[in-house]
Amino acid sequence: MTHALPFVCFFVAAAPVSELPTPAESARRVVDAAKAEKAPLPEELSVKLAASDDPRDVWLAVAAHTLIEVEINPEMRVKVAAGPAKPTLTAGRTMPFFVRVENRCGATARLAVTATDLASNNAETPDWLDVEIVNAKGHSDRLSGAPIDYKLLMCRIAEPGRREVRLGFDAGQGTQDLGFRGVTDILFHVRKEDAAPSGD
Amino acid sequence: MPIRFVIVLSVLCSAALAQEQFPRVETVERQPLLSQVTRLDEALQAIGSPLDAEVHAALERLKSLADDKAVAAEVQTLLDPLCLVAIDLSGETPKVTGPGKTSELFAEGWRAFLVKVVNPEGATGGLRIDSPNAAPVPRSPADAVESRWLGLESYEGQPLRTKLSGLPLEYRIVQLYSRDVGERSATLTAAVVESDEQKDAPSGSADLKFKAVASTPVSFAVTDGGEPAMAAFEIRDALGRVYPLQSKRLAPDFFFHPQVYRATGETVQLPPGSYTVRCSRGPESIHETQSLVVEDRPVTLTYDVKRWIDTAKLNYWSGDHHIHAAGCQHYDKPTEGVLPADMLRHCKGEDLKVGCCLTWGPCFDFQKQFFTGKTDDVSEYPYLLRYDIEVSGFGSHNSGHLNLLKLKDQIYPGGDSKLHWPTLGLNTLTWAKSQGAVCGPAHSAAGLTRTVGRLEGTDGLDGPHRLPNYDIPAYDGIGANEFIVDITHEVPGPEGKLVPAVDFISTMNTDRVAEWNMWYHALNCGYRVKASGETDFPCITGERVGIGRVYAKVDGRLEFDRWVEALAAGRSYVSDGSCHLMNMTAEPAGDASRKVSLGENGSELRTVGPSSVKVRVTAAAFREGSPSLPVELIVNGYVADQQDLVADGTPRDLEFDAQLDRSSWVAVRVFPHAHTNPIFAIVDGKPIRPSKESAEWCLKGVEQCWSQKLRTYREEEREGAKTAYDHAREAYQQIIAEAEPTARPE
Repeated sequence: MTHALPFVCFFVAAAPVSELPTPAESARRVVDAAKAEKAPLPEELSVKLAASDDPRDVWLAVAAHTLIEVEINPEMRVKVAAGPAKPTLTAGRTMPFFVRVENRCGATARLAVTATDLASNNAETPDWLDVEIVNAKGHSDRLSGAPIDYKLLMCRIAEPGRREVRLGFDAGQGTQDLGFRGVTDILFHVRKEDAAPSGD
Repeated sequence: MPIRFVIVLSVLCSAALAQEQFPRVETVERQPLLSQVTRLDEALQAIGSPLDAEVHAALERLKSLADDKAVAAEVQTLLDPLCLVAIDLSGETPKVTGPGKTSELFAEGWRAFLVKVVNPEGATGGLRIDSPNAAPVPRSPADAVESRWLGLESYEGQPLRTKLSGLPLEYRIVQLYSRDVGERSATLTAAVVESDEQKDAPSGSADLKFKAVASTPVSFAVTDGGEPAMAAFEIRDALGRVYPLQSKRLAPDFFFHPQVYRATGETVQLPPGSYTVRCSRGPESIHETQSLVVEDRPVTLTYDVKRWIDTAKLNYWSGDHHIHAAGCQHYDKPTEGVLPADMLRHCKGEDLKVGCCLTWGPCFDFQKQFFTGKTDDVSEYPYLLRYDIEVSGFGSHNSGHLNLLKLKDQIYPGGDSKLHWPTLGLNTLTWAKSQGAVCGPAHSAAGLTRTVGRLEGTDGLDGPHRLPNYDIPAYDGIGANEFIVDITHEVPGPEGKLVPAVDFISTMNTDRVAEWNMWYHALNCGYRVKASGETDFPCITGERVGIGRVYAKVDGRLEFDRWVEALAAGRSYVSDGSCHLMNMTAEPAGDASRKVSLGENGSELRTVGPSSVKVRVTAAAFREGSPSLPVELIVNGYVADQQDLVADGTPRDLEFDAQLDRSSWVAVRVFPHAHTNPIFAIVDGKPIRPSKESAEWCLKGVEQCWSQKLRTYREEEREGAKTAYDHAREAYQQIIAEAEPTARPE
């Protein structure tokens, strides 16, 4: 069982691995996944996507409609922050949001989301919210290992009004970051169905 | 009159006053309001200024109340008295209302207050709270120096938000500092801004009165065994507020700790009042709580450390092979992490004899200056601090982080920083081992807790606590992943002689079953990898250094090289500090002359033919209520014998019997608190091959690891990676051919 490898010197930073999706490809995939789910995209995003099919434009459009920004550090700690998208829902309708993942440790684990209603006794999982990261053909809830990844998050709240929920993300047991950094609190504005415009 | 009663009465009186002053909000949707208030409660705890327990409990009770109006009214009744000001955003210009009373501050210290925000129009910009009295003193006009006595800072960190929520009512936190003692006034201004740069936002103001109480120096007198010492002190006032204010701390006090570390003669500044002080000095001390009354004269807090055990006196020296001075919870401003003296202070305060401070990705080029290839000069015997490297955030980190201890050169050849390092962990290990380093993977369970299947034919083979188990990990993280390959390799040591590429597996800071399960399977394949204990402070946890420990036996004077050699030789046990397993020996029953001590002569006991073996260990544990803990003898991963240990702190000599009919490894554990390294019992000179299933599990692991890690290897290293993995495959196939089916004890 003896096997000695010689020293190897490397003078360049780790190169991107060719088979991993680029950010633009990941953005395209998440849009395709939303369409496959027949999820109504926000009107502003739909307009942008209709205006240009250029990969960079698609990426920029997706970036602007990201609800959650996840950063996984080299120690595989998962940090979460709210993104630029407006957290607007239509009551009773399942709607898509994007999650941007900056994956600095190349993890390929499953990205999981948990929801907590801080206003409930014992901080329970809210029964008024459905939330999941889509895991379907063509769009996995597992991380690709690419430095930038996008995931599709589907949300539904039945009743109109304002509802705040704590969303936590992890990439496996014990990976959620410390000191509230693994969670973010999102205040959803839930419109009545008949009051809702066709998009955001 | 009880203090609590005074506080409650004071709150109620203040409430009556404040309710007259502050605008009220009639209706707010209860769910988002209660959620916001809960976050406020969390934030106050995080900065060490928690709500009074009764106010906290009253807010919790509101969660059972369904009526929006009633909830809004009660929230305001409870929180308005704690507010410095109310800010009403209903008009074009914010209207700021003071409390109508003098607010108390303390000189040279910070105090947190709430701010009530009434926001009927649903503004969602940032709320800028400021004061001309908080303007900088450097470069100020001479006649303004006197009035610039105030420090002011809004707390907008997690779990709060920087911007307004848009709810009609919310509460925020502002922290004030007084330069001076006595009565002072200040103007507080408020404006809603769309960006930090906006200068022209309409601004409202109020004039406020303060009385700043002089703080008093509190000195510490700390002794341990009659010698001056460093210890941990968590200081809280009657309302549970932590001192010094966490959000204003810089090293050596860490902002993410409630505790500070102080030695004899050192001080903290406290305003007059009553305090409780939790005193401790690591897990071998008996923690105690003292009451402290501070008046206007300097006072001394005396803490004579009481221990339930002192393992150093038994030549077992505690260490944590994985702590950091930068990254994770540390800040990178105003300094890029913290300094060696800061880390040593924390080690001394937790009575951690050896701290291995590992430079890694964040602040690498700043922190690398502290590597000297020897114990750092700040070390104070027997507290030793040494800088080495964790490959994390660069190089081969994707296939599993590596702790590299006792390096002579900290930078991989070909550069002077972190970008040129190899991506195959084995290449890193080959370089490190050539200079005599002691190496092993970090946070081992990362990537091993999700499973992708189970080894066929192993139903019923899992042991107690699922140790061992035969689920195949996903190898999708940065723990002991490429480890499954690297343990099969030998590489040239400093003199060219081949040595194992991996010395130890890190334990005690990640999922205990996953990390110990990997270790057990490796041992079952005959790889004599040792267990060591780590915290990965402040990444896996920022609570304190030395949560995960290794206690290595060094006779005579403690020196780092001897300690780390004991670690590599397995003359040690891992522990969370609450349980100790010392002086392990094994001998053929009835033949004490052939006794083998753990970590001596390769920890190897040789016997001829199946043998009865007597294993001895000195065990001690300390738990409130002195419960009995099961101490288990482990043979080839399974429980072979058990003794009960009363956890009253008394060291007890325990004996175990094992019948060994094949070459085996034996160890002692108290799940999940402590584990000895193994003694290797070699029967008839045959290698340790007790489990064909363990080898098959490892082989499956190589395949799974390859599927996950191939893409992480740089193109020019892939051929070498393939060769390394092929070697591991062949090694495990050879072991499978030699091994016997697992014999699980009844």
